[in-house]
Amino acid sequence: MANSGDTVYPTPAQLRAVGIWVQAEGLVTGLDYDEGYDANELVTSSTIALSITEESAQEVGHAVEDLSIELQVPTVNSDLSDAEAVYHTFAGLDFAHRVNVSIYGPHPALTHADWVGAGGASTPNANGEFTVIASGTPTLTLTIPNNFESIQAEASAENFPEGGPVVPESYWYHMADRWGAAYGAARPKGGTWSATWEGVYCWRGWGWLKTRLTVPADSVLALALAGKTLAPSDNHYADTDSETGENRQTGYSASWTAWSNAAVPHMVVGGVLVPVATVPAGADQAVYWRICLDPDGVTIDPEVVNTLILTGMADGDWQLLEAPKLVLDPGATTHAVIKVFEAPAADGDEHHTGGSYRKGGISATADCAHWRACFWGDSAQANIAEECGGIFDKLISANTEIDYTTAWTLAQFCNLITYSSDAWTVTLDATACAAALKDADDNEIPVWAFDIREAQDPAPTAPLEQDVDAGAATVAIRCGSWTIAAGVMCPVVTDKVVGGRAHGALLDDTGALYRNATNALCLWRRQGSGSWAIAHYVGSDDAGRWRSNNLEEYVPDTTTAWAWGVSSNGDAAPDVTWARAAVREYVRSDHIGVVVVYYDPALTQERGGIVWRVTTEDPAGGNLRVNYTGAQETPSWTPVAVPSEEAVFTRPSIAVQEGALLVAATDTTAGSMRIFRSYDRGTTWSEIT
Amino acid sequence: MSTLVDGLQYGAICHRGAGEIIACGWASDAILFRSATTTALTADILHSAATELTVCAAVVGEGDPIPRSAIIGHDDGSVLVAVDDGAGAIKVYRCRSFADGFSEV
Repeated sequence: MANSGDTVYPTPAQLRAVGIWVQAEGLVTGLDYDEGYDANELVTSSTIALSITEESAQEVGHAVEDLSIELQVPTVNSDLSDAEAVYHTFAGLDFAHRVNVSIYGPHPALTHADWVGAGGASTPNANGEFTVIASGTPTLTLTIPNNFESIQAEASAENFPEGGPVVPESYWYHMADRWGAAYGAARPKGGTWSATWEGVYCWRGWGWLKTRLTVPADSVLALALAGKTLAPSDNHYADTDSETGENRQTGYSASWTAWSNAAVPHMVVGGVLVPVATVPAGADQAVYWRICLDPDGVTIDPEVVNTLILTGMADGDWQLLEAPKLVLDPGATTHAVIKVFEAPAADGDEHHTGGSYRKGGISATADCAHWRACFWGDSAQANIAEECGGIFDKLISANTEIDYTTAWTLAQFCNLITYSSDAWTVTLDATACAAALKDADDNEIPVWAFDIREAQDPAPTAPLEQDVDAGAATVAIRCGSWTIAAGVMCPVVTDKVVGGRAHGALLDDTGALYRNATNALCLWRRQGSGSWAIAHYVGSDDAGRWRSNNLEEYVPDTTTAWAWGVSSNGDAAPDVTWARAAVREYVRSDHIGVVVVYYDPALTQERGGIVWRVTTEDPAGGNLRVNYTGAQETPSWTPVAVPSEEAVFTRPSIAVQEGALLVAATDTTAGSMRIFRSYDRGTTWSEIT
Repeated sequence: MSTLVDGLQYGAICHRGAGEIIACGWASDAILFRSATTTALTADILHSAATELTVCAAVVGEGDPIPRSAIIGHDDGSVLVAVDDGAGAIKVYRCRSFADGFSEV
């Protein structure tokens, strides 16, 4: 038994055995959150610091790079004499996803009259009225002004006015008119900064653009979006190199990648956004355009949107009824979800001792937008998989390469999130923070970016995630060790999430969002170079998002990493793969899914109560599906691999022949039954010919 | 294709025990029965040189559905085949001896 004040490295079994101190409702922290995450409340009257051993991590299939266990401790306003008034999280952030943001900009920089008509379309007047009189190829083009592009080109010249952009904020911040106070101001090297009022050019954090139009006649509308994505190069110097004279400003450079999106119109049908081939005539037609995924499902990072070109207008009198706005999906129930995570050290630097680490950070989803919905920075200290707004900004001395990097305070982090795009508004909730962090003498416990933590009541949708649609995010006081004055009972909550996940938008084979689909995707895993095996199936929510279950990193009790992959349900192998499921990070794939339906069942029983089932997806000829269930009261059908990729089967039957599984079915194209056999309980199949 | 089910349609298979797989299905206006005990699932000789037995006649007119059939090996050693007659009724046939063939129950 350890003594008070000792740092201990117990195994889960040992911690469970310390029954007096541990309420072992599940596995102790550091293990898979599916089995008792945050369920263990430690009550102590001494210094407590917890860690797990490499053996413990391996035992449950997790990484050995990160063995620490953080603790969530009571807030200052907790009443430790009354267990009913102990708070481990508090609503410290007013965290709002902005809604109905006009792309014309905050000044505004644009009006309806800035659209340019051509090809038979007139230029709209101030009321947005325009006519289309020549059937052919009428276009209406809007160019969104921004200073962001010119700022990148000029950054290394060190000649912006005071209050203007400097590296790195110059490439982090995308909020329109963030530098508005410096427009027209004197430059330090002469002249004035001839910046322009900006439209909302950065559409990160939004899934949809809404246009309201008077449509005189049915029209096959389309909206061509075009823009750029920045690749910044930042040396992260804290000072000036004495040999080269280079500093963080002069060492900055950037390059661009162009993107385009030939967006198709969507309209609300039955409360849900669906793509429409034709926008019908109407006095006030709300037409939505998908931003972050093109019609083929290719993911777009709308960091800078330059132009919109509306086409397909029929002859007649048209009107733009309001400015195009960045909006939420009217058919989704949950819109904005954030996730704050600490990333493990880079390989070979398990203890964060050198300049090598991963930054961790904040990421977000907003309706169907998953990629860079909350993002800033460059690739320095990039995470294994997930792109985010970093908890840390790398800062090194130019010559000696001393690492000055620190984490952002919570207040700094709020500004970074707010200014990084036009999608988020985040501030500290001063009242909640004061109550939770300040004592009667105004001593204040500092909190940092990585202290943003999901509350456990109600349970989060997934570990680390917070739904911020209500406009608030929670924070916890977290530490590595905690000392309590003798005699004080202090409940401490262990805080450790290990697993990562995969997620993305789910599409159908036409490229439309596939909402509320069950079992549409299959997650696969493989040990080393072994065969792929089905791990689990997932579906999508009403916004068209999918998210996997926890993806274990390692084969238990070994150092062999699982490889992971995803495919449409029914495919024989994954078509998108990841070498390893990163700790706490989400890997990403916008993927086409297939929903499986079951007809024409046949059953057979195996010794031991296992029941096997075979079905077809279509009684007129479809894919075969094989599942099994144990001997439980309520069957739980687990799928195995499909015997054949051909969608031609009906009237299936199944038999267990000693060690072999046999499936026979009529091939509707061959006029005969065919028979398949598996010697590995449905993992692989071969046809008996 | 495995000769066990080759040419049969809308039938089924079943493990009868001791590694024997039995099958039924429609072919040539009849419901047929076959059995296999080999790894290759080739149809065994059931009686004399016959590798299949006729369970019942099942003439299918043009445009009519092919009757569906199901099979099970009963604990008493017999084989039962159920046949959908296409008119909403199921007929069951039993075989106690391959030499004697199937008869309606």
